[in-house]
Amino acid sequence: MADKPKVEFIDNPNPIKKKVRIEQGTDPKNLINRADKQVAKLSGEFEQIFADNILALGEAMSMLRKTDGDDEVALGRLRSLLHDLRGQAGTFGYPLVSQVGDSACKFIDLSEQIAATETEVLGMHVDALKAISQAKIKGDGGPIGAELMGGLRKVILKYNDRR
Amino acid sequence: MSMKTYALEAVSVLVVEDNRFMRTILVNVIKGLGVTHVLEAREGNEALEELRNNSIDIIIMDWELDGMTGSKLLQTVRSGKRGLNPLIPVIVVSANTIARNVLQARDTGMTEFLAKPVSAAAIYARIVSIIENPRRFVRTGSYFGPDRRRRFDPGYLGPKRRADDRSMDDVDDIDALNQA
Repeated sequence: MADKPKVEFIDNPNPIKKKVRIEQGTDPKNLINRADKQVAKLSGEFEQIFADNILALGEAMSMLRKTDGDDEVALGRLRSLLHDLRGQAGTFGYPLVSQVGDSACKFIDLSEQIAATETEVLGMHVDALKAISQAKIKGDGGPIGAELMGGLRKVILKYNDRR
Repeated sequence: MSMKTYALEAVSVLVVEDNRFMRTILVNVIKGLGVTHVLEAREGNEALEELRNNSIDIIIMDWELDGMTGSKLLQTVRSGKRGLNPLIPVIVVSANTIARNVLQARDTGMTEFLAKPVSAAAIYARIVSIIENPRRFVRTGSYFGPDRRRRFDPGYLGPKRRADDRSMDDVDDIDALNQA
């Protein structure tokens, strides 16, 4: 009989615990608020990045439409911009941007190929982001945000049904 | 139970992120939480150099890195080769939350996963988890990293789902023997 694979467990020495101390009677919310303030200092820079990315997304989308999706460079650029936006926007009060970006990235990642139909689905996502940027929709966008996300979900569901 | 406030000034953190602005966000959060020693790397090779030249307690790394992938970097860290600490806690940060991506990070040996967009509260919670709930490490034929089972029950009688799982009798588990 073949030898069974060996499983070895190793204790975690946890050296970090020796380096930290508990600040008794202090609410961690104070620490978290301080860190949030450090990040909030970057919000002006994010607004500029958001505006620049919207322009760049429009350019990448035009390139992709010219070839009905058959442009790996444009698709890579599009995904990279969407990926950056989904990863950053929520931190600066634009969770709706993160949601739209996430929906578009997942659509790219889970599609077997990007052709004309897929390009149009991506175009709708980019249009939604442009609308959010122009209207400066912060937070979840309320009823407008729900309508935007609901519309994109319906488009993807319809796309999935046809396949 | 409410979360404790930890003074983190003696902890050192390496942030590995190829996107400059995202790196700045992470560094600002970590410094805001009181960590004074924060190192930065833009890609995997730079990260390995920082790890070999500095005493670092926690790695916070992006998963979709340019050049050397996050997966390759984490594999290299867990290999412990050339002076690397294979037991170092690694928080993987990614906007890609598709299950296969998260499972890949878990099966490569991450300690914690953090979905982007990040918040100070979420990063602090992961650091507290590392401090308060250190997981033992497991070495099998196909995996080395923190135990992917967050709870350990020596009396567990349910199905064994791990690929190379075996009966408890075969496990070289000092903790299990101690608890028996």
